[in-house]
Amino acid sequence: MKKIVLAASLLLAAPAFAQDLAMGTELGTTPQAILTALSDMGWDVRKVQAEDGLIEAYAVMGKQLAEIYVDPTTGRITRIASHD
Amino acid sequence: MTDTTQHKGARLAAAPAPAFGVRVWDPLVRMIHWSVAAGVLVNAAIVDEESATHELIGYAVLGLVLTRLVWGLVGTPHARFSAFPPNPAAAVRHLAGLLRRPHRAYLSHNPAGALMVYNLWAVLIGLAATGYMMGTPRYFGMEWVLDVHEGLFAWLIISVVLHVAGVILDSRMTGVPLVRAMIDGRKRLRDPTEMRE
Ligand code: HEM
Repeated sequence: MKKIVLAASLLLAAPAFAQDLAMGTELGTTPQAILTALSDMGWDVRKVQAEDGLIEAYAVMGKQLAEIYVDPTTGRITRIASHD
Repeated sequence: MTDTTQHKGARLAAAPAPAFGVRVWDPLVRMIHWSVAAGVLVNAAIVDEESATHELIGYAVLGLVLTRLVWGLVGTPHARFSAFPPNPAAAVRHLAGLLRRPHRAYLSHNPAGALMVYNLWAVLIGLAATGYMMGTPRYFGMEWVLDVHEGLFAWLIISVVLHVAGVILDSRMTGVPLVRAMIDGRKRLRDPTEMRE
């Protein structure tokens, strides 16, 4: 029983990382803060750059590829483009 | 047909240098050429580079180039690699010879054109390869892959400009309308004895 609960919680824990990323999620107002926040969530951050007044991060987790756009004035995600 | 009443000899004498059309480019070569050119143009100038359409066109162009490469081994005579082997020394000699007359017409690509053609194919394959890599977990967001893709694209544009300039220059110097030949498949040579593979 304990094993089943453990397995279930592990299964639930894995996608929880991805769930953390949503429109409005606060990541930070600087490239460095965004890199740290995403890395802490388990993302492999490949690149962070300024793009059209936003900060754009390229991040990978397993087979998930995401381009994450953050508004530097609020520190929140305004767009997520995921490819997989 | 206004001169049908004239003496036959007079008509021949008055006619311009006889055009001698040789079938050189088969339909597959022509279809691939203009489809690749259109694909490059659309992807470079019209389609959003982050769109799925950009990827789709890129792979379509890759498919066409790979098909052409197979055709270079098993295709019609003038389309085969053996008709236009890559030969840098011959290309340099050809370019140096542009200042001299007479200018030779080739049934396949001239030696400089041949190098350009191999260059264009290599660049297109490199673009498709780096484009594919960008969508894999391993290379997604990697700066150098993007840099190589963009560098290849810049070189492609330079190459195409040189390619079209070369086509125009060769057409003028040899009197063979090359663009027309890439459309209807025939090279019209002024002097058939001058032709070379
Ligand atoms: C993105 C644009 C283009 C690309 C990538 C491209 C590429 C190529 C390639 C790979 C070949 C070799 C064909 C083969 O052996 O299968 C070729 C030949 C040729 N291309 Fe293009 N081309 C482009 C645009 C053009 C344009 C705009 C013209 C018209 C001015 C043109 C005219 C020709 C001609 C006439 C040949 C045959 C040359 C000869 O007789 O040796 N190309 N091109």
